[in-house]
Amino acid sequence: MFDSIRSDIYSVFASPSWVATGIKAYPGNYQGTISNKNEFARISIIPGRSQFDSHNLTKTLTGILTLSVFVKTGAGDKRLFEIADLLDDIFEGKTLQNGTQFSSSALNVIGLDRDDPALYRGDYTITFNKFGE
Amino acid sequence: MSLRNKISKAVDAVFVKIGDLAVDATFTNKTVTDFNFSSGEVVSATATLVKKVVVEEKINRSQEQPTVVTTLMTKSTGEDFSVYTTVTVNSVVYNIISIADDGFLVNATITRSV
Repeated sequence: MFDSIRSDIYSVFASPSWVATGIKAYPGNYQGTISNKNEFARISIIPGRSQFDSHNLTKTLTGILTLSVFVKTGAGDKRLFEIADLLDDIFEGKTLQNGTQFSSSALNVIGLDRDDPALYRGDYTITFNKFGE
Repeated sequence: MSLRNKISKAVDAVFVKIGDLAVDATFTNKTVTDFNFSSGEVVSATATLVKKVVVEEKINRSQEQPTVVTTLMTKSTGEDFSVYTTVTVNSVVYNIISIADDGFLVNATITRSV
């Protein structure tokens, strides 16, 4: 179930429609080159509580998908909000191919990045559910 | 002739005189350049550099685990050795632990498990 969720979410970032946005995204535990240091996103898939449904013993898993969005410092926050809207178009209220269901999103504007003040950061978060198995 | 050139030529002469004691070593730098969301794996590129080196090998023991610690020496020719993470000598792959370049000679400490 866990890898099915990961695969579902990764498929979004592999899709031509995401690639067409020009925004590079990188997963957790990626330490390689960032091709555009002025604008990128880091993906964190955080599985949360799970439970068996009472009768048929199928499992339900909830979790949070967080995209830490980085834009250039000093250029205002417009781009950050635009990217959040783009992410809403893809995730909010949607069900992905493997059945991962997303609910409503939030955007937490962090401000200057602690590790690199040349970047302005906002965390886009959205909860998900996966039923079955 | 400047002192720098004199030393550089002396280093060249040493590598000629030791003949086949100097062996070819391949320094390898693996750089992760991107992430492929379709395969779920990183995309990496490998760059190599071949140099004549002299090696001196000894075996250390740490917590009863024998480790080969090798000192490697080669002529400095201006490359940035800080990017290389492994070196292959006589078909054996070593990890580069530390490397120092004084402009004439490059000295590296490399290790491998036995």
